[in-house]
Amino acid sequence: MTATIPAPAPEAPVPTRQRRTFGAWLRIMGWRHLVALLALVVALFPVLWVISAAFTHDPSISSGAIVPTNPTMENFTRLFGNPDQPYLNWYVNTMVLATLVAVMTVLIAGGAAYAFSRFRFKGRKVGLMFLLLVQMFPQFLSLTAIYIIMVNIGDVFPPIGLDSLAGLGLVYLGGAMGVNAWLIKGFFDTIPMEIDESAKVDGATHGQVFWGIILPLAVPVLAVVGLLSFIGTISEFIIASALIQDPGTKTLAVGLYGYIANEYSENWGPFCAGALLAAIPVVIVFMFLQRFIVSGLTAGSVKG
Amino acid sequence: MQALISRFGGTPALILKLLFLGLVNGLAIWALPQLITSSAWVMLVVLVGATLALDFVLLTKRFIPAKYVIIGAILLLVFQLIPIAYTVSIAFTNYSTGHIGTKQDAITQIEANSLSETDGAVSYTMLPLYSEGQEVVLALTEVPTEDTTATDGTATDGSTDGSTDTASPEPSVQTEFGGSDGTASPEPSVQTEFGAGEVSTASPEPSVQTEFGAGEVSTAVPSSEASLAEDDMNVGVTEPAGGWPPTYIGTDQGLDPVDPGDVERDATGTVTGVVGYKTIPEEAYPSLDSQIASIKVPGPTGGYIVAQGFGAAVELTPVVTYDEATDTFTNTTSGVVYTDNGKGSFTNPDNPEDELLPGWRTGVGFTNFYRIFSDPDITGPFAKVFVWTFVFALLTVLLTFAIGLGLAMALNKPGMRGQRVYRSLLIIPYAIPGFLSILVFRGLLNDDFGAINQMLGLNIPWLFDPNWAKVSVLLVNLWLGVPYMFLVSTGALQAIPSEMQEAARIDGARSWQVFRLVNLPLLLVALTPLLVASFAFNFNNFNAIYLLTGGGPAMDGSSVAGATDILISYTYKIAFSAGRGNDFGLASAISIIIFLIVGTISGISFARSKALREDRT
Repeated sequence: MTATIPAPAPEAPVPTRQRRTFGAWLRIMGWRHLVALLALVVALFPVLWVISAAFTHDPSISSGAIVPTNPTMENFTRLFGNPDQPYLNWYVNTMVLATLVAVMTVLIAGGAAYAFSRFRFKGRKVGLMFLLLVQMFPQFLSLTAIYIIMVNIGDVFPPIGLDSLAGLGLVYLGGAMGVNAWLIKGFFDTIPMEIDESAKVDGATHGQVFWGIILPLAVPVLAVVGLLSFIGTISEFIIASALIQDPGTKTLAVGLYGYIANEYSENWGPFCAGALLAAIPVVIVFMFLQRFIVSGLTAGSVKG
Repeated sequence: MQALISRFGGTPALILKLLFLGLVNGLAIWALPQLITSSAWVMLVVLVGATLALDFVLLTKRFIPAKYVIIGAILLLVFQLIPIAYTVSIAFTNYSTGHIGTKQDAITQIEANSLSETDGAVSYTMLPLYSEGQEVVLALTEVPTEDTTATDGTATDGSTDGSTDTASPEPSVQTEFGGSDGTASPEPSVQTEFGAGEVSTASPEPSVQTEFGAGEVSTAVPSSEASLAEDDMNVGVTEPAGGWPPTYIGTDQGLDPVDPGDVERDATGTVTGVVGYKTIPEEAYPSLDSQIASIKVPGPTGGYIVAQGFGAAVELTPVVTYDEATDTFTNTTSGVVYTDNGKGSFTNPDNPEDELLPGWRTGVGFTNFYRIFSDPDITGPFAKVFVWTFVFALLTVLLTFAIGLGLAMALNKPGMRGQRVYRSLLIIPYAIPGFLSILVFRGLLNDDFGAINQMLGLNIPWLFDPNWAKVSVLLVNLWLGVPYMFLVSTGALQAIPSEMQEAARIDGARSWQVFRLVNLPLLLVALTPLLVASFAFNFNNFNAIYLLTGGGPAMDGSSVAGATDILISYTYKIAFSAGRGNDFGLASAISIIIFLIVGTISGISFARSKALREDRT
């Protein structure tokens, strides 16, 4: 009976093993935690600081304590209560614009990828090369030309001219195909042709194969393209600032820049509140789609 | 699978397609007459071509792959390819402030701009009236010559002697032009992005300040002008010692004296009406602005009497006159003949700096590219910006990669606790939209109230000292870029088969050797395309510069470039910076240089990458 529980015998070496492994642990694992913690401090300090500042009376004269001593909602009230700087408009404008641009980008680039991946036609190779080449000339390099074109379009179709979010969205969609089509095509190429062929034998049209088979199978890469397009649209400053002048039509990037460009210290508190509110949905969407990102990025880079 | 498939396609899809095409065609047909009347031929061709292509591709079964590309292709054409072509064409023109319109516009404006008060010219108080035929005429009442100061300076000649003005250190002459209505009017013209700014003819110091309305006529009434004119009237007309000064009806045909008995006056002696003419309510003046301003009454000394606002008029004579036969301007006082210099300006052949403003938009060949390498105002700043752009992009890529890879390796240890939590938290900076982080850092790095100086007890001018600003821009860009490199390095590290490392260890390799000889080469194979893409991205990372420092602080010897400016932000400022001239030609030329650099680098890397070879055919 007692033989089945040889209790003291194996316990004896345990302390020695722990002592020995603590040094080893530090050498093998511990420094990794130290590095990671240090990186975390650097990475998260500005984030925590903004969260704290958003609830601080006047962060520009605060002691810099991470936990605000007297939390207040005053910055949020000021942020939303300024009719000259309609933050709520900017917020809605940006989120709606970025969502629509992301969805359209996925569809446009997905369609192009489908054509280039599944069909063999004259000019296919040239088309693919051309998409790569065009992408090397970022849209904002032709900002002057885009501005003049939008002035002219606005003379005929005011709803998509200057000071129009629809017009801005269309400009962004002009750059939607390029790299995104390549990225998605790479993924489509990994889906066996036999799947579409068997569907076609069952009587499916090319459209049904695209919508019913290919797109659902490619959700990971579509999620990455959509996400990067979403974040990219929210962050885009240079074209939006040239095309949009009307305060109520601005995007967050243009609006918030103007908000602090001149009276920085005065608007610093409300700005932090605004930045916090703007970042939350993006970070949530990002975290939600995070599992797709590493594979999507390494398949072909988009954001730097 | 049948059930899944049948949800897509069929009648609803057809209806959607037809609705979409109906909308597009309807819009196109609706827009056609407008495009024809406004002679917008390029737009017309693009619109008709795109609509027909859409109809053709979507309604026939002949071009199945094209159905999936057509919408994206049209957007690509309109908002990427046409702008690129347009940019290239602008790069070979002198399109800039002062060279906006056509040659004909320029000739009209030069004549209008050169109108100036001749010696002994008579000033008038003015009252716009309607004639019986509802034509606008001007009731002009002479102002005794000693009281004409009120109108002095509003219409002085600022452009014909451009070189003299720029050369002299005296306060510059400020002249504002109303635009294409051909009249020197004192109203501030509408400031457009393209319409405002200074034109420096000879020296970099602020000189003749010229604002062009670019054809737009302001409808705003400057109240100060009106009251100025009223004061003038009161001063000039209250004492009718030698009888009332003569009043005339002025039209384009000439001055028509009014019988003194027909002039109606109020208590102060101000002319309020003329018998036989209808008064115009003052509220209606702004809407008649362009009509009033366009009346040129031939005056007694050979010039034209033109309105100055709504209450005064003065006789002006053009200093330079255009001769259509020889295509030259002649200065009537100095006798200098200005000829078309072939670069969009009339200049004095004996002194090329002596230029009549404005010029016009015309092709100038490679002048803009040549200027980048020869114009001392541009070459110096451009060279500095050029070098810093490379330093910024290269350092960013190398440092973000080194730190990102280091972190990835530190965390890439099987059995390490909290790995997932660390990873999720470390990529948060990547998830936050970049512009927000940059603007936040702009506050954190503020030398005055920024948290970084406050918490660390430092007093570093992070954003206002040229060298510290460069450090700040790099540090912030590292913060933004490391998570991305961490992410992709982690992915690449995990893809390296562990057998290779094991094999190397068994062969006696140390950790460092395993890394340098096994991991790093494999990583570089996988990540080189991403590193090149990251370089290309940071080469044009406008936000990282412009939102943090605005390109500043100012660089010595340049009014545009700042110490942290990279090529793209420099270009943006050349084209769009407010309060300065807009030089679209030069900006487009630099854009093309940027494209050539980035295109070459990316092109080489793409050619070496397997992207194209992997494409199965």
